[in-house]
Amino acid sequence: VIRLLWLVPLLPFAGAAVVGLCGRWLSRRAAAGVACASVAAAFALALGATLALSGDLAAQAGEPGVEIDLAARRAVVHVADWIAVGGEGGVRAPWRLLLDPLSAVMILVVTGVGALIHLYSIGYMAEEERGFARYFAFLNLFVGMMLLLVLGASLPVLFVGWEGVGLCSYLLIGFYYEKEWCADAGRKAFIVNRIGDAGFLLGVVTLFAAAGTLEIDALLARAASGGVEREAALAASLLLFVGAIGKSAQIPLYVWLPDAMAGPTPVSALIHAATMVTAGVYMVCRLGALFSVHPLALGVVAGIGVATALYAATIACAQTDIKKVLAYSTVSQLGYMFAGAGVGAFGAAIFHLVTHALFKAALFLGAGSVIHALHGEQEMGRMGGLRDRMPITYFTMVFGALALAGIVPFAGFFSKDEILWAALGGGHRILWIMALAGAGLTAFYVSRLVLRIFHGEPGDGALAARAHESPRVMAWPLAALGGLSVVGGLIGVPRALSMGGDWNRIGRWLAPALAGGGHAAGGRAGSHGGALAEIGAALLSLAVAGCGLYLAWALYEGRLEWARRIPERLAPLAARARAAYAVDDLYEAAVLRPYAALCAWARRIDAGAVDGMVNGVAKTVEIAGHFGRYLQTGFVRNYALFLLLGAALILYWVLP
Amino acid sequence: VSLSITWPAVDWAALVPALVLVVGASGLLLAAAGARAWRRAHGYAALGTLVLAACASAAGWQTPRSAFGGMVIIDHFGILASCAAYLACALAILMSLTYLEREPGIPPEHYGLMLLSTAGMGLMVSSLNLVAIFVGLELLSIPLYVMAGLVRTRLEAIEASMKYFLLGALATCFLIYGIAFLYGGSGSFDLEQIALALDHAKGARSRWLLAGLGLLLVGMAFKVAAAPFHFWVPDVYEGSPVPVASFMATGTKAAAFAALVRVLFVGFGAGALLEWRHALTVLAIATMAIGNLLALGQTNLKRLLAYSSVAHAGYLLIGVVTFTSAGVESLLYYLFAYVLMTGGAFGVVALSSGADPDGRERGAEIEDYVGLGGRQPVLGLALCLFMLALAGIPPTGGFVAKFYLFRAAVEADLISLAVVGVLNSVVGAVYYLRVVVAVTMRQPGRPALSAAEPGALACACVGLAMAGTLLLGIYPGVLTRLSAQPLF
Repeated sequence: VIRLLWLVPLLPFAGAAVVGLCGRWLSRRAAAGVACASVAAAFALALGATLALSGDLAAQAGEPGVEIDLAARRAVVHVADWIAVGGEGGVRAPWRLLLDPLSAVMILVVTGVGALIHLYSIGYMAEEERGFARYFAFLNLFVGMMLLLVLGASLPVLFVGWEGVGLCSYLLIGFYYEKEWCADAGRKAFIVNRIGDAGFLLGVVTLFAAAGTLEIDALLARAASGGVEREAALAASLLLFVGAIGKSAQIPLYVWLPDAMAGPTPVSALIHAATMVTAGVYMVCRLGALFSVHPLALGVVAGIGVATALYAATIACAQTDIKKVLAYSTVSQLGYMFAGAGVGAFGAAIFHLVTHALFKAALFLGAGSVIHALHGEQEMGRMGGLRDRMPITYFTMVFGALALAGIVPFAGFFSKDEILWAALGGGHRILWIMALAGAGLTAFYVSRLVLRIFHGEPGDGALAARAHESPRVMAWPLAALGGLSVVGGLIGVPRALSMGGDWNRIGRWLAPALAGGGHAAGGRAGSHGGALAEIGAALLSLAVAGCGLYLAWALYEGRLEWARRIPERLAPLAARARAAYAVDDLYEAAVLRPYAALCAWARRIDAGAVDGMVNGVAKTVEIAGHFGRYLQTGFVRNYALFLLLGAALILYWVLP
Repeated sequence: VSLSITWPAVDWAALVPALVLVVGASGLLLAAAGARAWRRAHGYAALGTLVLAACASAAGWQTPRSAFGGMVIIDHFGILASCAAYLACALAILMSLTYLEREPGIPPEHYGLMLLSTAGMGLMVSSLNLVAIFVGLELLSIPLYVMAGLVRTRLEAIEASMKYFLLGALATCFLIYGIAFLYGGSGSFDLEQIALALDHAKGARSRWLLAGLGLLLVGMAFKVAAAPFHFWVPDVYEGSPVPVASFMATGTKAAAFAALVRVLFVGFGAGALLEWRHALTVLAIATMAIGNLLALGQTNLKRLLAYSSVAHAGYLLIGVVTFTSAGVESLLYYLFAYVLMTGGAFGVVALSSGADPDGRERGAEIEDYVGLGGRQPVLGLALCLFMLALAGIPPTGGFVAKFYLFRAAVEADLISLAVVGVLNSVVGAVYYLRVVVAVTMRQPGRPALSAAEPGALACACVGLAMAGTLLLGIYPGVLTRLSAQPLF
């Protein structure tokens, strides 16, 4: 099965080609069918490949084009040659796909969640007139690119996927391009991502100069054995991390993600929550051995991650648009993943990536269902009391919310707790305290979200009266993701809570693929008081989350007197948070206006000096061309004469 | 008394591609005498013959050998070069299918002649013997003289045919004269023997050989349209039917360059290296400069493409001057890319042009293409793609080809030549982009040409060229893997 790995990204690409190029002639049913089937088939293949990887891998050896590394549980599939520049030591970039526990997890998430969201989109986009096929073509293209990103065995292939998902993100954010603010949001996402991509590309080039190879397995082996200079590794890591900051929306480049909510809600669920934005986390974990060469690199990752986690959580508390709340929540959760990776707990970061993909997709699809029911309304102020009208959506969102809040035994509890424990166990107390505070805020804002949508009195009675549960094609994926947010965390129950066993299946599964086995350095259970301390820390974070929950309940449901005073006290801060601390204005004043001024100045120089020179040269060339045309008389006798002259000249040069 | 005759072992297999083409061409010419009505069927038959010949040619890939005492050489270089010629011919036939519908003046003999000429190209690039090369060259040229003037009622066509014939005959004189000198100096037509003779020659004998080389260069430079032997090019391309112009621009160029490389590398690689490299360097610079400068002022797309083909001959000469295997590889790559993008551009012209009621051809002026992107988006896109490819802009084969070529030049320490090439590319971009601007950005000032709805096969020509141009630009490995084998 592993030999067929190339079909995994190819199927969605083929789907995109069919739906995109022939969409005009396909019925809506057929277009949606092809799109969903291609992703579902890719999921089936991914599942097969993962089973083959987990089973008797030696049996797969010897298949043509497949290299197997039994010790690292890794299979590399050579698909085709691509770039070959220079001889030995030149740049080689064949299409090679890498299947190891890490990429296996990623392709399962991408195709699994992707298939559910494709299905959901059929219902959500049902009212779309002209863009229906275009939507599914882009969505399929995205899945293919994302699979290429996570399967790429070398950085150039990874980069193709990296740029490809950025392109699809742009196309889908600006899907409603007739609305100017949607098109603007698409452009903003693309441009901000370019900043990150420039850093990423520089990082790749630096890495090639320092390590001499771009194949990921060779690169990591070289980095782990000290074959890469520390300073070069630091520079490359930080540049690559700039790319991750752009793609995964961390401080200071997170500004595009909230605006990206201009796209259709399933897109927000798939691209801007579950998969694409996690590409940065995946990349850092994939190159963990490189980031580990210089301690400063991981320190920067952890610092930015935790800062973003806390900062975005405060903004999420004050937003009133349901998709904006979820967007800032995504930024914050990505921060947690980076925090985990930054303290060396790559396994915990990937685990959180997986659970987050499940519960955040559930939340977004739930939000989409609400928006669908309310005919496009996104303001929480006009919602409320929808619980009885939309029971499936309600329960899904409650499950998702509890998972996000980190309440035992929902999915988010185990993964977030593992990151927190890795930070504490690794001795990073300040990081731990910040992350803990962020967890409290998370519980608060997500409870606020659920309470304001589904409980209390409707903000707009007429709107609420027309609300209805979504059709089955939307409700089923929703329920599936809701169910997964409940049980998804059980794949990674930490050892301390396993009652003597070891239920951390995902940790063990990922260990061969990650630097240091995916555990935080010095953070193994046993130090710092061992299992008891871990349970204590878990109880503490549970208590903090409980506080957040209770506060939200007191404010919006219980309407207790003491709780009411808190927003009044915090009013100025809340106003700033609602405006996202005016960071967009700050960027405009600090970057965009000076840049525009510089451009205007450069334009004057260009128009005067540079163009003047160029035009002068061009004029000369043109005059020369004009003169030359007089030689073209049209008479054969003249041409023959020139032929003779040419012959004489050649003989003159050739003869000694 | 029993009489037994022992036949010499003749390697007929080596001749199969040429035989297929010649037999097919003869059949078509005979058929044209009888069945003139089904012009399309002639085209399909020609296409089928071509595919057969290409398969026969490719069949020799695994077994490089020499047959008929060096008269026919089966090697990778020859096969790749013939394939470039077949590709040029295929594109020309595909565009003829539509073009001949609109031009009833062109008789169906057109197809047979085109196959004959292609057979000449195949022979010319797979031989080490000057006589065989000369025969191939003539087999290539004479059908072309005829094809240029097949429309006997059109004055421009007659003029083109006449000019091409007169000047071609003059150039052939130089070529045959040079071959005679070389035979006189070495006692052989075989290039390897000539190389040996050149090694040992002294005094007057060496001078005879070098004079032979010089005259040979004149004849070849005429065929590849290097300056100052290029004057016929714009006049002939303008007057000939579009498919014929395309075939001349692509097929002849590919075959003549391949033959030039083989003659110079095998015959004169050791003894007269300095002399011909010096002469060709000057020719390359002059050809690039003249081609590009004169293209700047053109308002007729066919003439523009003619000068563009002159400019590209200049770039290709750089590949010859390198005298390295990397240079030859890049030259082959460039030939394929050039065939695709120039053939494609002519294909668009063939699709959009047609004759006025008063017999004057329309659709050749750049003005006719203003706003094409709005009227026929696919055709407009195709023309833009080919122009960008000719200008050497990624992600097209034109970019990769230039990149390989200039890199080969730099590696061969011909940095100044590479710089001249790059500067010329800049000038080239001006007139190519002018066409792109006309197609996409300008509004038509005069009533648009009412182009017929192109048929599926005509689209196949443009589509094939587009796909190939993009493939070579995105996936250079498809060709470099083949040409990386030892060539000859």
